[in-house]
Amino acid sequence: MRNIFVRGIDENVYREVKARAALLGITLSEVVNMALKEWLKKPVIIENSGRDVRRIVDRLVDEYLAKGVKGYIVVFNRGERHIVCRSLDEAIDSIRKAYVEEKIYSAVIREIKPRPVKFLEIGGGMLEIRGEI
Amino acid sequence: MKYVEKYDISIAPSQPFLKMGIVNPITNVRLEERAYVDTGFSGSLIITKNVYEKLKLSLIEVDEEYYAIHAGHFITKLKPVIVIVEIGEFYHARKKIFVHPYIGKILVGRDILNELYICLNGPKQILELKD
Repeated sequence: MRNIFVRGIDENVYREVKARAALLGITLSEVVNMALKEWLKKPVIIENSGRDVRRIVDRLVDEYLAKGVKGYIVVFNRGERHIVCRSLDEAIDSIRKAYVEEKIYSAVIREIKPRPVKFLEIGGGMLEIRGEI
Repeated sequence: MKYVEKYDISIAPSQPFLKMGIVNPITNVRLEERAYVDTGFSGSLIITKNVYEKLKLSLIEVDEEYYAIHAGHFITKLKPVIVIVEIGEFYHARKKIFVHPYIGKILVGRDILNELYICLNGPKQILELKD
């Protein structure tokens, strides 16, 4: 067992966790161990390169929007280069061509407009979704 | 045309699924997978990270923000990608589908189910697609 000192815990979260732990008759250490074990069950998804590509895409979209350009941007290989296409069909064809000719390994398509944020509803609980039950 | 699929009885209660062809439109590589019917899912298709990697769907990602809300509480960020979805001879469409970071099985939701005439015959434990 390792003893650690943790900084920066949200005050409200700490109070609520402490109160709930007391109700359940368990220690804060036990709560922390449970939370860490749950976090470890989650698969690791490397998002850093995704964030860099997102910044590049955002910058390009802003530039093209300012010029009044419409259509789709395709960014290849995490930002190595990009093209502008008039339609989604054209974007997919361009990626296909680039894949055959240059062996690209990734491509991101973005319509030239502010990035929409959408929510999808899923009825199942996490255990069912994870296939654990 | 006929499509009949027996429920998956390895789960209790048994669960209907569709055998779904998922094709990368860039490489034309195709995988056939079980997609479990989930009318509680409002989107098209949710796939695992494993399927995303096997099909090299990093070649056809879409930069849009999508979040899954589980049972009204838990929010998970999804990665949208574009694929061709096939179900026998009944369905062939280019669709935006979603990669879920934690999911253990593929789910097909209302965005696709509402395009099909599906009969869930519970007593016989079979799913049928009709014309």
